[in-house]
Parts: sequence; C-alpha cells; structure tokens
Amino acid sequence: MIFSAFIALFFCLVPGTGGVWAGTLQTDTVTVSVKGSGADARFEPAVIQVQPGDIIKFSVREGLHTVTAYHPNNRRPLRIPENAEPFDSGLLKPGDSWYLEIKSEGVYDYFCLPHERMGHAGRIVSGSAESIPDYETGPIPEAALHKINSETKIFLTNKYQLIPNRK
Amino acid sequence: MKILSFILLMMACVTGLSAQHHHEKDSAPGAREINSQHSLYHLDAGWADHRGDSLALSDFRGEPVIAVMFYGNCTQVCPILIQDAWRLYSMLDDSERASVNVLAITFDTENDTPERLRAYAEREQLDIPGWHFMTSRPASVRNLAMMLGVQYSGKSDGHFAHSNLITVLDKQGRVAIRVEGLNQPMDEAAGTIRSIINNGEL
Repeated sequence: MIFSAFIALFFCLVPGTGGVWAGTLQTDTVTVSVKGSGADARFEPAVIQVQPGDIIKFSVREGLHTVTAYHPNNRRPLRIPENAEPFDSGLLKPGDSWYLEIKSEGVYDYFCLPHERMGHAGRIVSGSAESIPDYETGPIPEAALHKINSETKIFLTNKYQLIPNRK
Repeated sequence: MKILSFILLMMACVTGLSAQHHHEKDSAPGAREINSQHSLYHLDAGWADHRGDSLALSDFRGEPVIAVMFYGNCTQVCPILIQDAWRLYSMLDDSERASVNVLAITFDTENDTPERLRAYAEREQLDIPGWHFMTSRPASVRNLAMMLGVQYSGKSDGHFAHSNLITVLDKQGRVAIRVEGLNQPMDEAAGTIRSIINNGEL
C-alpha cells in the first residue's frame, strides 16, 4: 500500500511523467524502430497491433524523421479514427525516443514528413485487425500508400497463419 | 533493495521520457544578425511563384508576411520547416489568415522551377490562397537571404546546408520577429502577426 502510494507520488511530482504515464502502469509498451536516412527510410515494423491504452515507443536509430498522423491538421487526408487526437512528433534525431499513447480502437496511419514520398509510412491497428477501414487516399504519394497496404497484407497473412483452422 | 532498484528504474524512465518533446539544437548554419529597420521591399528583383505568376516582393506591402527559405529536394529538415510555417499559419483564425501571405522561397534556383514548385505545393497540400512558393535568379535569392539573415551553401551532392529560420515581416517589409530552429514554439510569432494586423505598425 505504502509502495503504491510512493509510485503515485513519484509520477505526480516528477515533471513530464504524469501526462504520459498516469494510470498506464497496466499497459504495454511496443517499440517501433525508425531506420534509414533516405530512400531506405522505414518504420520497423511498419504495421503493428496494440490495444487501447498501450504506449508506442518510436526509437530513432539513424536519420532525421518525424512520426506524423494522416490528419487534416497535418495537411493530409484523415486516416486515423475521427475521435482521435492528431499527432506530430516534430524532428527526431538518432538516439531520440518519442512516445505515443493510443487511447481508442481503430486504425492509425502515419508518415514521416521528410520521407513520405519515398514510402516512409506506417500503420497502427488498435483493437481488432479485422475492421481496417477504406480510408480516403487523396494526394498521398503512391509509395506511402503502397507501403501501408502491402505491409498490412503481410501483417494480416502472418497473423492469420498463427491461428489454426481459420478460413 | 527492491525499492531502491525500482526507484533507479523509474529515474531511467524519466530520463528517456524527457526526450519526448526535447530536441537538440540542430547543427545547421546559424542565422546571421540583421538590421530590422531595413525593408525587404526595397529589393526590386522579379520573382515567379508556383502558379506561374510574376511577382515583386513589394506586392505584399500592407500585410504581414511569413517568410521561410527551403528547397524542394530536401529530404531532411525542409519538410519540417514548412510544417513549422504551417503550424504558425494554423494558429491564426480565418480572418487573420486572410490577411497574411506566406512566402516559401527556394534556394535551389536550378531545380525548383515554377512547375516543380507547383508539384511541391500540391503534394504538401499548400496550393492555397496566400501561400506562394517562389523562385528567382540566384543573385536575387542570395540578396533576400542576406536581408533575412539566412545562410545557405550548396553541397556537392546537390543538397544545401542552410539556416532554419521563419521570419515575420511587418506591413512595410521589415523583420518583426524571427524564429530560429525547428519545432520551436510559435505563440510569440502568432502574437506578433496579430499585433501587426490589429494595430498597424509595431
């Protein structure tokens, strides 16, 4: 009891911790590596599945990148759930980590501002993987769309191969 | 002992988390000092924008201007610089936006033709009223950069090293405020634009 109170006090008193971690001790943290510096820029894995409340850690290994939601606030078509907050990490450098909390179910598509046209994009599936919406494509670069769609196909194939007797 | 270990683990987490909104100052060439009393509208060069229109800087006299220098082939910081200019523009309400022009001026006079700038503007979904992606002769771009305090130099690989700077000009084309670096807060610059709009001269 005293130990729990200490933990709560810790997160209340240390600046910068409450906003991300408050109430999330029961959640998982999933890591996405951000690699490459040009045409080979990529998120690994490009498609992940999480549960609402999970935190995703974007860990930059090389290059200069962003993690930016497909959302009108970022001058892109809406490709995250309508009730979700748009996000944009700003510039991330090698060694930086950036944390994103996914609060609700749905599919979140995102991209890297400097490398979108080279296909540097990714997808987060929060909750069910069987309800991927038919999002608007708008003027999104073909390489980015191809990356999201092809990686989703691979993700779904691998996922269902792990489930015996599924048709 | 377990509690002590846990405390140390938590401290490590905090150190990692502090990177969430903190970025080291980039190693780009810094912006030079400028004389903010000099009007850019004294530069009489001709410019072309992404719509194929011919322009003079003095065409923007009478309204605040957001100026940013970039180049279209940049695969590092320029898209973030453009995003920063967009963030500043987005902080303004509709009526304020209608009174502001955004000039995105390319360093790369060789490759960034008006046609390529148009493609860039469309790809970035910034082919919108008030936004002008502009090019001119190399000497004119250099003169403008000097007035803004932007340093840039071409590299052998076709890319450019350059300052990361967003500048707000007042109605007379004088520098009202500069925001140097990437991902910087834009509240003060937005406030400056509102002052220019509402109070005339600063």
